[in-house]
Amino acid sequence: MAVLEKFYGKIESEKLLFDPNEVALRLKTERGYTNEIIDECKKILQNNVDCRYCAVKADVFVTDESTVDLGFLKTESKSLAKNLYGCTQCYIMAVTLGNKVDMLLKKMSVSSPAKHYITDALASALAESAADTAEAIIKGKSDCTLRFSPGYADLTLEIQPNVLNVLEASKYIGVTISKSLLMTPQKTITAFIGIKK
Amino acid sequence: MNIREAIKNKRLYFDGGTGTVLQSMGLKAGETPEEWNITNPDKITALHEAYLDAGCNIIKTNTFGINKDKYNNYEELIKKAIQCAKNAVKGRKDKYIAFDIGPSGRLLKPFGDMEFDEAVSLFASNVKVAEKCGVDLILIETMNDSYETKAAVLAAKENSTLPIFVTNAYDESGKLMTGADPEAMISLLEGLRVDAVGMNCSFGPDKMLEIIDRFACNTSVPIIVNPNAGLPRVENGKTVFDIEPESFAVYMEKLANKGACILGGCCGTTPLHIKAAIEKTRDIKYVLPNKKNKTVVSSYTHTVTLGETPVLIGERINPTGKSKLKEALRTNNMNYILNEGLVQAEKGAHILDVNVGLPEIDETEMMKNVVTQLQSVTDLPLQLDSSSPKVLERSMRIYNGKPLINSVNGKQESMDSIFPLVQKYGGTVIALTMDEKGIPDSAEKRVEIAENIIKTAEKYGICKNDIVVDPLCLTVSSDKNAANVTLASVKLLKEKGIKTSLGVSNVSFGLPNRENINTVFFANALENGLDCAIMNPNSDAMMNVYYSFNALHGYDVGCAEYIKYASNNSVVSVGVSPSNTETTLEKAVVNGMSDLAVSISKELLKTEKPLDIINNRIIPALNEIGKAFEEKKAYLPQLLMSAEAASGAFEVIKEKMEIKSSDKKRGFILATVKGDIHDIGKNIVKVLLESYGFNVYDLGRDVDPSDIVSAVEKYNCKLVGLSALMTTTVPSMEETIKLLKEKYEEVTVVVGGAVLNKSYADMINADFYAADAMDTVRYAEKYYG
Repeated sequence: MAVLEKFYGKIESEKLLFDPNEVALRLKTERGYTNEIIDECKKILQNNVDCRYCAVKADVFVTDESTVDLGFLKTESKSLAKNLYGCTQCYIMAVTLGNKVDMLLKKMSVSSPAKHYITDALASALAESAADTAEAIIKGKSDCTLRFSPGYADLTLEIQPNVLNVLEASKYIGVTISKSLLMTPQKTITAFIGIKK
Repeated sequence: MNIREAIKNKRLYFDGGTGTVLQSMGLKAGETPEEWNITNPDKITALHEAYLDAGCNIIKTNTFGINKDKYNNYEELIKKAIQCAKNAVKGRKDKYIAFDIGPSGRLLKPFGDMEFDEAVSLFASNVKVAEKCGVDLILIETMNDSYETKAAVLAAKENSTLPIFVTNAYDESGKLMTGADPEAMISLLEGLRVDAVGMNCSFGPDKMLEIIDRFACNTSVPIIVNPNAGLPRVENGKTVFDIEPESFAVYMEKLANKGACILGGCCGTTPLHIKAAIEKTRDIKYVLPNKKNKTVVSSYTHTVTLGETPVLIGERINPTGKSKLKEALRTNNMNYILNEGLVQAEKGAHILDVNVGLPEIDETEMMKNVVTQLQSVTDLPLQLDSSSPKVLERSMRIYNGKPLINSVNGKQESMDSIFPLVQKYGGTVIALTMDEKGIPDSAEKRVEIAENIIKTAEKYGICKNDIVVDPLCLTVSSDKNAANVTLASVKLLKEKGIKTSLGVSNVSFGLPNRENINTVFFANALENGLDCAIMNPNSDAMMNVYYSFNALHGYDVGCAEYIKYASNNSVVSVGVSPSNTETTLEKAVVNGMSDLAVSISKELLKTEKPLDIINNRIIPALNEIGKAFEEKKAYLPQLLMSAEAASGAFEVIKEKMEIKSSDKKRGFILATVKGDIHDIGKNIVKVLLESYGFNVYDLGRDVDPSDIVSAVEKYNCKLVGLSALMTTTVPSMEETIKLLKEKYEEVTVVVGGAVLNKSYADMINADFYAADAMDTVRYAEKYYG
């Protein structure tokens, strides 16, 4: 496989915004609902975010309607094949909120289950925002398909170790994966983005 | 000359990068360099030769990414790699082969899934092969996690006698990915007795220039610097680096002038970089770091230095005289224990004492668990406290950092068992001034014992700085001179440059209002030069003494710490303000105001019976919010906050209640199944169950099926709740249920979690599918009728 380009960097915490829809979805509240504790959790979370991303630009071959060949891995997924249909190159990215967020969540799970739940939901929302921000930086002005992550539709999580490996995610952003396919730090997103010709 | 001798006299040079050079030799992208040990050994030898020709003294074997998890033929790959290196150095003088060990790529528990011992054994397999083949040293490099680094060093120590060099990858903030700063790494690694420490990879030599001073100021062993040639980027499908040999050499010159002893390169550097660096630095005077003589302990992020501002060691995680902690240890209530740690950290403790000795529990296992778990919620260094060397050994082994160890004493038997542990694992040890003859009555005699302990420690290579003497404090109620002798001992030890520690609460044993005595004694001890105190940081009176002492003795510039402390503390002591009195307990619970619910409960207890408060106020309030949630008029965050407020109130009320044995019967075992580390759902259920007065046995997350089975017997509780959040871990839930049902016919299993539904739950043979936390509570209420 040819890695054509490599990207990595840091995103300042202030640049990550809470999307009200995402927050409501994760907190299971109506849009815009907040209270003192939620506001407090937002602040604490933002102080613990250490957001980093890395990505590569690589060749991709959609060989048939359900096979995607990335060189370093071949995967059967109709939905990814559909997503990348017509593309010969794609970006593969990973973005993480960092391990201080894991530590914060672990601490809260001991001291306050309510804050733990709230902060975990907020962190998931913020990870989406981080992925949006990283995606925008990586793709620049190129015309791209929608971001597509392992675990969506029929794209198996089994490819996650390969994805992280090609990104050298452990080295660049400190992301590792367990045998049961959980990524650490927990608030990490990986994704494919097809580059339209 | 072996390399340990060689580095005492002259600057040595490592080789540079591997990947970039091999790519120029034809290594294709996606092909791993390690496989070339077998497929292209001549080229690997040529790579080494190119570096040796450039003038380097130490070559790294091409083994960075090899381990038995990744390669079945790891042994052959290692043997071939070492053979290539040997072929390259043949006929050359004063050249050394470093057996290279890189990160495993996996993360250790508690945040990852690899056991510490598993990591040690993974690295050990490599070391054994290298030891057999014969190399000159072991280089552990590029690790960005202190814990994994420790595992690799232990593997090297336990399976060879080779010199050990360690370099870590620091990021642009000057820390490892998992948080350690250079000082913390130096303290950990010097504790483990490695031969040289330093940094490699990550960012370029410019970034290393920013942190080299921190190495020079803190380490007593030679400093290694192996930077990248700047930052990598991909151009036309090829990785290139932005620092050319000439400018690389200029940076290396600056680094050498700042104290770097062993120089070389990492990613992107070539023989040309190394050659240029050698030419530029060859004539710079070679100076080894001097002995730093500091008394330092560390966690996985930072160090605490003894002998400067007095240090506080929180004493609350010690069951002596603490019935709640004893109960928590017996029922494995980890949350209670961890919370004791968190509260002390918040109150200002610098180090936490951890003693979990109870006759009826497995102290070794409990100590290991508490230490591991504590290190996942607090970054304070720990004082490992046990009378059993076995417990100390286990906890020193798995501790992430350089611990304080409590304790050794002047008895030969004690020194014989403790000092070898310190020598192996590193640590600063508390030395009690008692020996075979007991505790002497005079300060002079106690100092004599201290000096004997220090002398004996030296035989084990443990320097005076790693001994902190506790001259012991007996209670004044039985000996009027007790305090005087102790204070005089502190003063004498201080004069001799020996660090001191005291458990300051012992002095008042057997007396009423102990805090009165403790505070004055604490102040006196500080005045006499005490370096650290084992005390209760939750006591405002003791903290008043501490902050005041620091302000008065020049430890607190501009009294900044004191002012911060004093202003925070005045807010806390206000209690129930007039406006709060208008809020009822019911309202506080419904609105999720924890602090208020607690303070109102305390007030109410003066006039109402505990049970009445629960039945007439808390339960109705909980039902109100629970109903609102079920009717979708309130949200989950509100429900949780209410449950938490109710639990807070319940805790206060419980203290005034006689716990009836019947309460114990409403038990509920909870666990997130093996392989799954998501515990939010489980915790929500837990807090709700607790708020309704159920007795929850929380086994945590990633719990082995057999542990769940044994909990049923241990707690005599037949109601079990299992949670799983990932499709990949549902099979593990199924397995747990199968095992439970095999063992106990009458066990009832409730399951829940994002990936489950009713039919799925039926399929895996669960008794009840709970759609949410309230659902579980209702089911449990029905279960117990």
